[in-house]
Order: sequence, then structure tokens, then C-alpha cells
Amino acid sequence: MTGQDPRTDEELLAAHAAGEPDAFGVLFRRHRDRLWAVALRTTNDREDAADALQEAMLSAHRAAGRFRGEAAVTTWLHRIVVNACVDRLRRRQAHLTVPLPGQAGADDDDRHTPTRNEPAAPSTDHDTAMVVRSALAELPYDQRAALVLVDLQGYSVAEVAQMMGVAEGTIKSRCSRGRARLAVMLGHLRNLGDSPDVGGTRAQDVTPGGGL
Amino acid sequence: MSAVDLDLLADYVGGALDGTPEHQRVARLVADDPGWRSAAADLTTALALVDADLTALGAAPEPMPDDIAARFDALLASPEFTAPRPVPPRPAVGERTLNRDAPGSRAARRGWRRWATPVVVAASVLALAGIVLPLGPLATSQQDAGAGLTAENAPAIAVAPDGGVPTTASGTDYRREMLASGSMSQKTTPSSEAARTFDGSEMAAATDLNRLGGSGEALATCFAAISTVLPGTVTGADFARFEGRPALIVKVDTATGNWWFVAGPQCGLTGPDELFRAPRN
Repeated sequence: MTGQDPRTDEELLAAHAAGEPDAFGVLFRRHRDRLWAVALRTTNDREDAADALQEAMLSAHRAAGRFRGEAAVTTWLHRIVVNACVDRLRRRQAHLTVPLPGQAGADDDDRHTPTRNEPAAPSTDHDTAMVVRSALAELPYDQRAALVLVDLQGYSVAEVAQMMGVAEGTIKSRCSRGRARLAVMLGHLRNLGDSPDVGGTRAQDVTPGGGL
Repeated sequence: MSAVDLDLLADYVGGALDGTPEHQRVARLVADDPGWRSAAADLTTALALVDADLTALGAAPEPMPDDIAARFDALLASPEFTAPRPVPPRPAVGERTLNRDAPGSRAARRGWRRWATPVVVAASVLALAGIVLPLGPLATSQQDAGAGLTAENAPAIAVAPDGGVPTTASGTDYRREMLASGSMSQKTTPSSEAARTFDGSEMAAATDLNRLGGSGEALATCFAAISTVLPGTVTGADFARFEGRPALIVKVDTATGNWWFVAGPQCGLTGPDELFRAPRN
């Protein structure tokens, strides 16, 4: 049943909105692994990824009737998934109080959350991918989410800005800073003497170039 | 020679400063300052390598693990997914502030009488969605609006005879430890431990929830948002406070257990606005 249905994503979503009980499941299974990859790479936590994806799918299931085709169904689904992930990370961050000595500021990162960052299941034997994934996990989550969507999923800066409800300049900045930090973490760039610590305290967004 | 700021340099190299005055300043630094010039060249070279690394990661398969896939199969087979459940339109999911309090807001000055009436309207909308509010206690509370309500004599939660969602507005200031310890009574009124005098602050708490109490659509959307993160049946709700902040204290029964779910005033806007949750004995 999965992957065999000849209908397009839009047709499946419309069928679901019209009351066909299995249509949403077919749609979900068609894109399941890609949505999972986005959730896992954004949250950096297996259980968080599963919970965020579940939350996102319930939202999508209920909101299907309001889908107007302004974007591809996959874009719409990715938007819901990544925002569910970011909401979850932000919620957890808001519950954190004082960072431990040497850790990034509480407004900077989610990676120090105690007891929750269990290692996610290995995704590949490819050494490079493993190393890069580990480095990506060290980025502040806003930068990570932007890089997952732009550099891993191939969305444009404008599309991601729209997905995340921020200015294009903000996404450009998140991507640029995230890549620069990755460059340091991956050993491609020496840590500049006065540069912020990698994954450090200067991750606040800027919105250069004005808003949307 | 000035110190190089990696974030600023990254913004410049990545084009995030294009069209801004900052772009001109950094461009001058890169042109005139050997440290910045060297760093810009190094970063440009390094970014090409990062791009290759990210491409490798993007090409690596990341299949959903079997146990997670099984969970989703079960979820898709559950009643939650058997048919679409239209809900009222709400703003698209996006970035939002976590500032849940609106001290001194206009709503906070409206008072109980203004708040209580729309709940009756809300109930009728909820009824259309299959959720029934007990109008009796709320209607009574409206009549009693001028009285000095206390948590003890605040409108008691009444279980709707048809099994709908009972609600009340106790003004109780719930505490994390009360809910987490499971010491909260399962009674339909807040326990005396949690009860506080329903004075002006509690009144303000209730009215800060005016959006939820004043619109059946808003409350239904809030319950729907809660069910996305905690699938189950809402069995009660109290317009109250949580650790001093206006909050909706919701009882949710799930297949695996019962929960307290504490939602903030933004519940239903971009999510459930979760403040806290704890198992309920």
C-alpha cells in the first residue's frame, strides 16, 4: 500500500481532506524517512524526533483541509515538522534555568539538556557523514534547523524563511554562522583568536538586510 | 589590526550583510586589515569543504528505525487518524515569543463578569465540535460575579451528564510540586492545599485567559493542540494560574495513564503553549 499508490501528494492530501481514511497514511509513509531525517537532524534526539514528528503529523492531519497548494505538499509537511521540532527545543530551553559553567548561554543552545541527548541511532557507515552529523548536532538549534532545510533538504533561503516565519536575512545569517562554526569543528578552519567559542555565546540572530 | 569576529565575517561572506551599512564596514576591514583579509580567505576555502561535508551527510540515508516506524503504524491506525477532523483556522505555525504573560493587559482589567459571559457562547461552539461545557456552574458564576468568590466557593466543576468537558475558573495558583506529586485531589474542585483566595490577582489570571474563555473556537483549538502533544481525552479544565502565571489546568486521560497538562494563555495559537505536565494518579 505504501509507495504503490499512483496518486500525487496533492491528490492524496485532497482525498484525506475529503474523508478517505487511508490517504494520509499513504502520504506519510511515502515521505516517512525524509521527514524522519529532518526531525532527527534538527532535534538531535531520537525520542524528541519521534515525538515532534508525531505532533507534526497530527497537526498536518487536522490541517489538511486548509492546505491551499501554495507550496508543494512536501514543503508544507517539512514546515510543520521543523517547526514542531523547533517548538519542542525552544520549550525545553525555556525550562532550563542556569547553564553550567563553561556551557553556552541558555538562549543559545539545547545541546546541554541533561539526560535527554541520548545518541541517536547511527544512520550510516560513512565516516564523513557521521562526523558531520555530530558536528551539526553541536550547533545552536536555530542554525541547525536552517542548515538541515537549506543544505541537506535543498530548500531555498526564501522558502525556509517562509517556513520558519522569519526574514530571509535571518536564515542567511543562521546558515552562514552555522557553516562557519562547522568549519571550525570539522577542522577546516582554525579557531580565530577572538572568535566566539564554537557553539558558544554569540548565536543570537541578526536580521541583516531587513525583514520580509 | 582589529580582532576578527567569525560570526560577522561569516555573515559577510555568506551574503547576510548584503545591502546593509554593516556590509560596507566589513568590506573595508577585509580590504584594509590583513587579519580580516586572511580570515576571509581562509573561511571561503573552508566553506567549500563544509559544503562537501554537508553534501555527504545529505546523501547518507536516514531511515526511520523499525521501532519508531511501528509506533507510527499504530498511530495511523488509531482513531486519531481514521478521519480528518476539521478545526477552526488558526495562524500558521511559525516562530513565536515565549512571553506568555501580558501584565497589565487590557483583558486583565475586564473582570469576571466580562469574562464569564463569552464562555456561554464558547460552549455552544464547542458543542458543535462535540465537546460539551457544563453551562450550569458558569451561568451561576456569572450571576454571582459581584460576590467575593473564593476558591472554595468558586463555581464547582460539574461533570456534564453526557460526558462533556467540565470546566471551572477557580483562580487557584497551582504549583509544580502539587501536580507532580500526585497529591492533587481528583475531586472536581481544587484541593484546599492549592486553593487561594479569589482576590483581584486571581481575577486577573482568569481574564488573562480571556481569549480562551471568550471563544469556543479558541478553547476547542487549544484542546486540539494539547491532543497533538498528548493524545487522549480532555476530561476537565480549570481557568486558573500556574506558579503565578495565568494558565489553563487541563486533565487529560490517555490510553497509558492520566495527566495534568498546564497550558499557557497562548494555547492553540501555534501549539499547546505547554507550561508543565505531570502524571495524574
